[in-house]
Amino acid sequence: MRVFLYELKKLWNLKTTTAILAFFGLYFGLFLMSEIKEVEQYKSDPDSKMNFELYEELLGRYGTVIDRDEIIDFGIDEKIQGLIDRADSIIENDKSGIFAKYGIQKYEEVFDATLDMPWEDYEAIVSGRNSYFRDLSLELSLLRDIKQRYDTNDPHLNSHISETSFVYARELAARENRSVMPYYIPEQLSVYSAMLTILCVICSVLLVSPFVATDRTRKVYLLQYSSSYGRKILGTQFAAVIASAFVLSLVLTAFCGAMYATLNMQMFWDVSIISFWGVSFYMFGVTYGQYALLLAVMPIVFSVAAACAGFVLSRFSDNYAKLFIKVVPLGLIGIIVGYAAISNALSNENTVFVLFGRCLLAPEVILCGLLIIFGVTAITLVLRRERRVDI
Amino acid sequence: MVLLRLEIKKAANKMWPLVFACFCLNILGAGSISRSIDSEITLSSLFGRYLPNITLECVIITLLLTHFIIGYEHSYHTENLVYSAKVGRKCLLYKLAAAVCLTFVYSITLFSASLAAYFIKGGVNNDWLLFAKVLPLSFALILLFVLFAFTVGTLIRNPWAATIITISVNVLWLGIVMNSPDIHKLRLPPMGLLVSQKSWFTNIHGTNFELLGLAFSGVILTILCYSAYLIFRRREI
Repeated sequence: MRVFLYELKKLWNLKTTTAILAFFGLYFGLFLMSEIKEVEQYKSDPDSKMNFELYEELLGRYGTVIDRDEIIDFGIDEKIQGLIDRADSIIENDKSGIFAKYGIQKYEEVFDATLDMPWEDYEAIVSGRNSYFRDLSLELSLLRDIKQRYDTNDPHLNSHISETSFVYARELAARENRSVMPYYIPEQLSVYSAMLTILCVICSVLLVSPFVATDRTRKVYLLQYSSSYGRKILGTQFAAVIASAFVLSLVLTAFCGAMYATLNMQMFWDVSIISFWGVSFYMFGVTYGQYALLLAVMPIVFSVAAACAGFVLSRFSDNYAKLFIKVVPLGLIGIIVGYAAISNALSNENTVFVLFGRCLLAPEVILCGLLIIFGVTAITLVLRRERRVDI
Repeated sequence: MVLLRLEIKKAANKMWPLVFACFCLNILGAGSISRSIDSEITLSSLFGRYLPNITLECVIITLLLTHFIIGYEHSYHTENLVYSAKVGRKCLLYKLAAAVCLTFVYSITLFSASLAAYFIKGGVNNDWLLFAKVLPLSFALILLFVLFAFTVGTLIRNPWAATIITISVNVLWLGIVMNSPDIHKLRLPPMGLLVSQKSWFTNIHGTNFELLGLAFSGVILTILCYSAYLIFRRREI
């Protein structure tokens, strides 16, 4: 145990810890914080605020799933008609003459008339901040969107469903999945998690790689390997590396997760990620909370796998020059694979799913398992070889 | 000349596996591009996706190569021997020359092999004039990264730390550029130019910003390189 603690002390030296903290601070400020700000801006934007208010209303009134009776009870048709009547009365009572200029008498005629309109008039009627129909048309299109998507899935989604070969996935799509979940919320979370994976992989590689290589460079291992106990030191170092990579990625994930929690997306915690609003198609009907937990575990897995690979490569590097030639490409591969596996995880747009020809269910999760198995197997082989190797 | 040949020899075969891996990736990329688009938009896919990817790969190879050559004496514990004499200290210039030579060899190989794969798979319906303008600038950009890595590698003796610092600085600069898309001056340093390679010769970021950026970064990095060399000449080992 004492040797293990000494190895931990060696691993977490001042230089490495400072480098990791500095990189984490800058990376978080530049990349992860900008993702959080993007969602915050989206939520505070007047247009999307309307969407959020609607989701909150639906969740509050009908719970996580909305069925056909409830959609009738919600009175979408009446709401749409009410908005159209309001728009018609605006046109009727208008004294500026802008509608009469283009012969508009009903709201339904507005969009045909805008085709030949100069930009200033178009802005005054539809698109400008203080135009006649800006908020009204947004609300109307949102309600129409809900109605249309509830009855028939998005055409983009339907095309994806038809090209998916899984019977299971088709059954899932055919099922009444009527959860109140905006499609971009799980998608955005997966991108945030993918960015976090990059951070975890880089920090793990930074932490682990020089550790064993320093012993090799300074020829300390010759001294250690002269005794049978010393030959076991690589195993202790491996334990220290795995424990450190695990704790490091856990802390990073917890911190970044806590920062993401400030966005107050918890209201969707029990809502299924498969939604009639969706444009991408998720293979599993997990809730947002379960999805968030999966996306929190995946960066940790990638980080530990990167630490395993970094450990093996640094074992075979006698000096720093050889080390970075091996480790930097490894880190880049880890980043690319991690990002590809985690962004849009479990959906039909996931890169790993597409690369496997859309014929393997959740390949990104299988990939995570395989990475850990390969990593541990490689290290076991190296450790076994080390007991008898001639130095 | 003998010293230059010796320096080249030290790192001559180190990067070929990486070049080959990048080439394989590019073949995959060329295949997916040719499958996903028709010949009419081959031009935009070449300049928008394919060439920036190859340039990025060349930059990564270049950074590793330059740090390997500059940090070679430190890694193999020959610093005290080589840098004890004035001639030995001048070796650093030969190291820079070797890095430049090998960068050209690796880059030309990767560019020609990947572009050949692209033209075979994606057709040759391209704007050759634009191509002739973009390609030399890409090589000039890669050269700027050699100068940058040389500066950092000379000032920081540990090649591992130098590589990490070089890559971190570039990644963080990328973050700054992405967070401030409207500040076009941030695109003048090498990383900014690399990120915006798809908008070269389009005036999106200002008239001739790519030429301006290359000239600006070239001058600054040359001064930094020379300063680093002067510091190194008088440094205690």
